[in-house]
Amino acid sequence: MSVTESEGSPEGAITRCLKEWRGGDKDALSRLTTEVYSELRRIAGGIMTAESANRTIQPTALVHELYLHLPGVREFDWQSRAQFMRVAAKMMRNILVDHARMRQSAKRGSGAAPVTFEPGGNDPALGIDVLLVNNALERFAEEYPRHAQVVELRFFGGLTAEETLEALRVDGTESSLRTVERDWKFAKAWLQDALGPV
Amino acid sequence: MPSDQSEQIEDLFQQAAGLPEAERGPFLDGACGGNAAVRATVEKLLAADKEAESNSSWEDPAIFHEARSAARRPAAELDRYRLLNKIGSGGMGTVYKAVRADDTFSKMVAVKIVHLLDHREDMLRRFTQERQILAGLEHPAIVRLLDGGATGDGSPFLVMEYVDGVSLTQYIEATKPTLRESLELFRKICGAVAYAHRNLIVHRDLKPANILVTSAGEPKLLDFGIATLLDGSLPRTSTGLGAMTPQYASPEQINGAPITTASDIYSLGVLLYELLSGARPYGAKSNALELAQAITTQNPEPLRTRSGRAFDADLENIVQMAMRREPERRYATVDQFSDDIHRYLNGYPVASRPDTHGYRIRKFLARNKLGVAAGVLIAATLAGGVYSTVRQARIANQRFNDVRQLAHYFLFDLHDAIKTLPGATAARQMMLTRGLQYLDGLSKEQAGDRGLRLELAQSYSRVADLQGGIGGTTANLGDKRGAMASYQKAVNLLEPLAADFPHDTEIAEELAGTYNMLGDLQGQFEGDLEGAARTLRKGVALLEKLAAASPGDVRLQSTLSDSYILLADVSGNGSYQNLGDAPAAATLYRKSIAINEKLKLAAQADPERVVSAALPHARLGMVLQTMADKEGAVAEFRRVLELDEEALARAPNNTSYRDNVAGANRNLGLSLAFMNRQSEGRPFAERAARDYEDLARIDPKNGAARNNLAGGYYALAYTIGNSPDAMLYYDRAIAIYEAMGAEHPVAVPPIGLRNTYQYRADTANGLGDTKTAISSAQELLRLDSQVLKLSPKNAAAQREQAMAQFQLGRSHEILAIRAPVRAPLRAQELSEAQSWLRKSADQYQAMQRDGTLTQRYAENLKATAGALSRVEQEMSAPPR
Repeated sequence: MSVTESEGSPEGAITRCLKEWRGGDKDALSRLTTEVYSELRRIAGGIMTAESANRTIQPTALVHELYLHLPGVREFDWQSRAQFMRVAAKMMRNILVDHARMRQSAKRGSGAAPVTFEPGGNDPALGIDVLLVNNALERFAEEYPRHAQVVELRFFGGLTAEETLEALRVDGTESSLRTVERDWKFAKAWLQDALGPV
Repeated sequence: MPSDQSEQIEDLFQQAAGLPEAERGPFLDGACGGNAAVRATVEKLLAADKEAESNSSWEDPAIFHEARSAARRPAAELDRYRLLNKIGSGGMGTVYKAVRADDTFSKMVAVKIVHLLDHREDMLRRFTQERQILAGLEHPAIVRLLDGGATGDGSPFLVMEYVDGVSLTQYIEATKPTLRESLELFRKICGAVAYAHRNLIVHRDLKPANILVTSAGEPKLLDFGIATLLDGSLPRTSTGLGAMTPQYASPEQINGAPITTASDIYSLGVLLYELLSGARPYGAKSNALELAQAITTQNPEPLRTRSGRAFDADLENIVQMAMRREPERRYATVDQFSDDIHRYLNGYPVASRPDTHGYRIRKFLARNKLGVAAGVLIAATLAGGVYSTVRQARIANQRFNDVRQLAHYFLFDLHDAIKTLPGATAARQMMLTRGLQYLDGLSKEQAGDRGLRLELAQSYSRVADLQGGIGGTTANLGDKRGAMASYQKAVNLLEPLAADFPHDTEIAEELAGTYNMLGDLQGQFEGDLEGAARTLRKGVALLEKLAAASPGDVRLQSTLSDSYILLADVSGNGSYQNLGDAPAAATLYRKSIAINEKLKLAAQADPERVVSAALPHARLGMVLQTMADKEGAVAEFRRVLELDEEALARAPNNTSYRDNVAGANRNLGLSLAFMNRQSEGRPFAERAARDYEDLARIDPKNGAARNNLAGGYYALAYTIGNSPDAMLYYDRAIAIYEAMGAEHPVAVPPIGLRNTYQYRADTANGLGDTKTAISSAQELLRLDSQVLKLSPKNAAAQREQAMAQFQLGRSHEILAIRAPVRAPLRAQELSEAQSWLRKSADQYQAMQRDGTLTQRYAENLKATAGALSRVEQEMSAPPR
């Protein structure tokens, strides 16, 4: 047998997926999603066990950690990087929503996840329910799809306004830094209204 | 897209937000132009904006507390294992070498943590379910699944046997096996895949990375069915490629068509291709799309093209056959694939062949399924392996329901579709077998669902009917033993079900009905009379309880009536295999008669009811006959004839009613003859024989019609009495019975045949034809010993045997008396007579000791003893 079956390193896989996607292979995007997702989870697990319980981890930290683990990503051109960010943000949203759902079902005692959830405790910052945000965001997206993307990228993906702009552009959405900021402001107000007073 | 109003709202919001708070009111007064709703919304949003700006969570998403805790939660079930080091990772998960945390022996295992995008409950439940199925895979060449569970964050994980080996690719590179060694190794891989297929598990992701080879050269397949577990939980793409390895993917996998065992065969083909040529079948393709295109549109290049070496044409054909683009044209099973390689290795011709006319014809027939040749086609397909049909049922997904449907398809739809086609018997047998295998599998898995359990039981009963139960009188397969096994399975499923749902009449009725079928076969086919009575009594008890609860339920009442009749038959009806308790039988028949009278009154015009009402009368008549209540018997048979003629009058073209009338005539004629009123009985018997002849002519293959004709003949013979004409009809009856026995050998000889020989012996004696009497009695002994072999404690058969022995003794005595006084023949006949009479007396005495010789037959013992002493006296007397 002449061809070695190589699972490949994660960064290799991610880079390859990005290249293939840029080369016009539409499927590569979904493979990229899978790769980024598993890598994010893995990294998150690594960071969390290394960190002390009292420190909070920022989404940016996690995504940047992904950069560190994937040296290839740092060499990306801006488009690949933006694409990667976009995918990472979507994945972060999935991870968080999944997790919150599980927590909820565990509370209901449905027995789906045999876990003891460690509650957020007395951390005052834990003021927003992920599931509520997610549900509100889905409704919001029907009326304001561009704004909703900004929320996904900034809120779930932890991206800066500049990174958000890049991620939108690579997706073909024309915007500007000012628009991103305005969208974000409006979105926050809309969602805050939908969520009710804290 | 945002509506105009949405845009307006945002626009107003943005403008107002840019203003000092005091100016916002006047601004909105002017800008909203009296649209109060818009204004209210904007004001609401402005208030929320203020709140949002003071909520740090938006800019510093505390949701990452969630992420943190998600990752840090105690690892739940994974706690049982201590992960050592990562030994691999891929799209689906990460594999670690691990030991059981509580294991003092530190047995090494491999733990694979699967990354699912979706943690929906049903997904996890399905994963657990499927995991249990996989855990059942035990094959030396399959890596065992030992355990599994969910990690702290809900990701499923699998614990597998740890294999100290290298991937197939590495193994081949390191050992450079010969062609034969490669093929032998490949056949071991096939063995594992075939095993999984027999357990209805499709691998779906066969590739060198999933095959480890130990240092002993034994392959171990990984990740069996894991791809199936994950189906639907990974993001699906338009081409369905998902996490699949495209190099080994089959065309149907790429096209998103159902993935089946045939897909594994394809992947095995690619594997073999590489093993032999060292190259991939479609060459290097720069991207997945091109490769996918090649796989779905091109045939693989010949091995020699890709490797530059020459290969035997047979090997080329084998690889091409496994890799055909159309799943139905590949090897039907992995076993066939493997066998072909085996044949190649041993120098036999292989089965794989390039396209042939046969293939095209079959394809044409497949499109014309309802054509006459469909039976032949299906038989051929099945002979080749049922997996081609399995394929259509998409077993890979939703395995359980699909298997359930598949079983139904085999057992009912397909079976019904072809059962009238000539030559379909073998195919039907196969479908039943396969359908039952699936059901067997399901009944092991089923988790207590009432509907499913009942359905499984009904399926078994249905299969039993088709196999040869009494319910399937039309075109059943004559496999009574198989039918009994299937009824028994149905009973085994229904008994606990009835216990779980004690008030469920549907279940109880099904169970009682099944007891009836099973009990009847136990008694009449197997000769297990005690067992039959036990089974039938359970049914009677169950039905009596139900019937008492709902006296108006006609179906229930008539099932109960059937149960009484069947139990009575086996209890003491001389026309069937029975336990010899005629009074008990009579009581039961009378209960059935009582029910039927009620039902008949309730449905005056329904000829079916009339016929049902006649049935227990006929049976009671037979029993009264044995109880020597000849008058009573005649009365019952007259009643039967009345009822049957009434039914026929209402439906004159119904052959089955005509058949009943013939039976009634025959029985009445015979019962009159038993009272020595032969001439009175003969016209009835003649009418019966004529009707039976007609019926048998209409449907010469109909076993029941032939059986009835034989019965008509011997009854007619009996009413004729001591005349050579009678012998003619006896011989006709015997000829029919024997022809039928030769066609369908049965364990228990028909009672009719015994009766014929019995009456024939009597008539021969009456005519002075002692030789014929002796040969007839010898036949009787042969038949009795057959019955006694099956049920040694059968009192009726023991008595019959003693009587036949007595008859033989008497006949030899007669021959001795007729012989010249000094002839050696005389002594010979006397000693023959003595021997038979002694056997007979011994038999009667044994029965008397056992308490099975009823008063009525004690007379027989006296007669035998008398004859014996007479013969012995004659033997000791000096020659005169």
